[in-house]
Amino acid sequence: MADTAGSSAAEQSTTPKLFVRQSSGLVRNVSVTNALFFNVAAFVGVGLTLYPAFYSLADVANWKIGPFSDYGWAAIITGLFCVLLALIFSSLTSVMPRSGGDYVFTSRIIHPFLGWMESWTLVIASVLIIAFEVPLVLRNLQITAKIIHIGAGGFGGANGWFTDATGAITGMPGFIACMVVLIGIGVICLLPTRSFHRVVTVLAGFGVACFIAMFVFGLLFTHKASFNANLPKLDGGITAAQLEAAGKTGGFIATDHRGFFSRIFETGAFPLVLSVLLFQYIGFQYSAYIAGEVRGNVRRGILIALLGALTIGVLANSVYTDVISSHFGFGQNVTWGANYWGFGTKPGLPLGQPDSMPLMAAIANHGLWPLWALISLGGTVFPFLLCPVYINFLSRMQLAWSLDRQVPEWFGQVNERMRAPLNAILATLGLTALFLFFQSFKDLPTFLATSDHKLNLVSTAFFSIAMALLSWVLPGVNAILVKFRRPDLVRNAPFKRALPWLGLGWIIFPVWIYIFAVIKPIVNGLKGGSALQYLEGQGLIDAMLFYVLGLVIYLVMKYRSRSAGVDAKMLFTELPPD
Amino acid sequence: MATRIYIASDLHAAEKAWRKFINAIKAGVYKADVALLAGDLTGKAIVPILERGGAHEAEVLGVHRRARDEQELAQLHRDIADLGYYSFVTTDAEAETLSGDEHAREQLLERLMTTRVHEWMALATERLDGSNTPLYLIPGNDDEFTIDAALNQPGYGPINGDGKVLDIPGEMQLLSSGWSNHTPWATPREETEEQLFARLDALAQQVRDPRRAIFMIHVPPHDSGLDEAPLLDENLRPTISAGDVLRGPVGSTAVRQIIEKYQPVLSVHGHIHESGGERRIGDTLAINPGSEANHGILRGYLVDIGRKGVELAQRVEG
Repeated sequence: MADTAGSSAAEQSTTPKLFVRQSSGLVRNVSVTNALFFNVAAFVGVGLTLYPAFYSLADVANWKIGPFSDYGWAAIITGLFCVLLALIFSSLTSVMPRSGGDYVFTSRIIHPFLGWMESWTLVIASVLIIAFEVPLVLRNLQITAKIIHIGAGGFGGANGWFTDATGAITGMPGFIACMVVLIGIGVICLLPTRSFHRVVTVLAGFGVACFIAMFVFGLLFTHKASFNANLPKLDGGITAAQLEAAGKTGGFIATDHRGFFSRIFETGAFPLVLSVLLFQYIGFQYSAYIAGEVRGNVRRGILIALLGALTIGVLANSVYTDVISSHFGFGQNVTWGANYWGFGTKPGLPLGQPDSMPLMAAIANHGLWPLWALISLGGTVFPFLLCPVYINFLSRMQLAWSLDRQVPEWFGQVNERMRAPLNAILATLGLTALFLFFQSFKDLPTFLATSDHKLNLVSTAFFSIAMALLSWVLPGVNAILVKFRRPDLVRNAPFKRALPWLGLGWIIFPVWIYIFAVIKPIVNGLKGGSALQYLEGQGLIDAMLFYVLGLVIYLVMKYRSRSAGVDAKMLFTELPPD
Repeated sequence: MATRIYIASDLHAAEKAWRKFINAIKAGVYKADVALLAGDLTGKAIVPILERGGAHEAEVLGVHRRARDEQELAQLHRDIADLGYYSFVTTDAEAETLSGDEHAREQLLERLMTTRVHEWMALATERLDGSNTPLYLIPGNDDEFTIDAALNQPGYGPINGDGKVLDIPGEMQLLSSGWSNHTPWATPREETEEQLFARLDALAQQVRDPRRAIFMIHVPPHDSGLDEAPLLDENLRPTISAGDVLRGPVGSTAVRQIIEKYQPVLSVHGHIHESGGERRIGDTLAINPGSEANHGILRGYLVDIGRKGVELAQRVEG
């Protein structure tokens, strides 16, 4: 039987260049539009309303040259390099099965151990992203209430929802609220297939509508002058000018006058901004997996689906973000974000919230508060939506591990009632809960969290970035090596001749970032401390622990499999066709 | 000493996968005692290779290919065959005519299918000559009845077990059937669940001891996790929501009933390419190796069966 399609599809597919059998169809049968939608949904999420706050996540001096901020330029540059990655993925997915994604490619092309480590670290990185998103769901709820408060009154205590005495979503209130969100995510994950997709579709549609509404109505119906005038009335006197001035004195806004290329190729601050963009783009790996199913002209279909989605992702992180933040004031946005992440304190955190786009719009135009509240609710929905979609992806990879005996068989077993790999889903939720616990309580030993004995959102983000190292680098290695390691598999691959060059071109980018945004700060930190010690001290050591844990699991499972008579070598033995 | 069974399925005319399968048996890569192929041998599409100006041209997966000499033409034929497609040399005019003539296309397809099955059987016979590992295979629901003559032709090494209960090494028996429940495509070998149950039940009654029997039935048991396939809309297109393909169980309730009733030590299936894996149904280990044959990858399973039942199940691919 065919995987998909039928006689009518066969009839439509038959051309003088390909005669398709009537009784069954072809494997590739996902339309380009569907693939494009899938790709967009997979990696445009958390920033819907909060992108301007991400300017400051790298804790470096931000700048703006031409129409774009350093964040916007980083989004464009990352996007350009990701074109190479998209071409690599589309080529490999065209000739190799997609279920299991990177795990499958690397296992076959390089070695099963690296395949395991790459996918293990990607799973951890993704779980960390979920742990990053869950508090943002709660934060967006607070912001939505705050917008209603500004427009119609009420909800005066919204800033205290889910927070401890410091105003952060942490401690027992934060943890309980995060658990409630996580349970909601778990319930969606375990919905029957049709219901799951219905929920995800409705929420995604709502999110996208809010995305568009923010851009159009945010620019049409708000003005910087009214924003500047209203801000101090609502936040106890803090003005946009004060924020910008504090950003310059606090080092959050660049005050030197270096040129564009000097900034782009410097090895200090900009690689850190690029690393934040890699963090933002991490869903891109997942979205490429479906490329192998695109019907029709494979090369053209994949290019449209992947590159179209990438274009949307780049536009969202550059044009959308920079136009709106510039509309309200780039400088004040940078400092506001830095104060939210905890890097600065002066002149305070306006309204006790991050610089959410609909919140700024509500400050500028109170009258349209229902619209801004609705958009903010969309911002709440998107990070919530992303989590079950990620978990769904991860469970597929975990199923592939289970079949390859990389984890015990029970791990990937499909539950009779749920028709889903329940154990894998529960393990993902459990690990997320663990990270949320360490974000909420000061229970980490000093060597893991030097300053506060717990993870915060910043350290969670950089922990995730460190965990994603192999996921970004190995696709390039695969592209370089596949021609030599598995020439039989890529003989008919699109871009076959270009693959090694695509791999080489791509690999320069993540290696550059990891050298200068991860390794160099560690070296500097070890030499006696630096401004980035905070980042290294928390996320990176955690990451190393999980790398070691991955190695231990691999060795234990290898021993266990050998004891049970499973010959792991046979698993990937290449069979000669001739 | 356990008997090792090597299982693959749904090669769908993919030349490279077939050659890998035969070579794996011949070279003893998996040290198998018995090899099983659980149906669907034939392919789904024909790529016309067009004679143009002294060269030959074709479009393969959206990539334009041009063969300038006989060697390149042979390679083009082979590349198309590796994907599980059939090819034939023609002219633009003939290809245009054929694209509008369903009957002529079907005749051509049947001829190409039968030819390839003959070639496969001949290759297996030649390469497995002297091998101690017998190969049992069945057609699947996608396979036209015209290939049965090739499968049953005396002199060929592979044994067509369809509709039979055969004694196999390891003092075991093999029940085989390539039929399936109804699909949306009205494939050649499909029938109602009641008819399929009756067919399988009649065969199962010939089995001496189900605990020493393998049931090789092309379609997997319903709702077993080995039968998750895309759900189709009214136009037989996959139902897609939020960019993802909706999936649901499409296996046979009759097969599930037969397995639950007789509890063979092992049941072997295919049919749903993307739903490979293993599953326990009572005391039976049910396996669908899945298929990526069109990608040139041969998916398989190794199962060791000892006196007390299944001792090992391991997924392999090459």
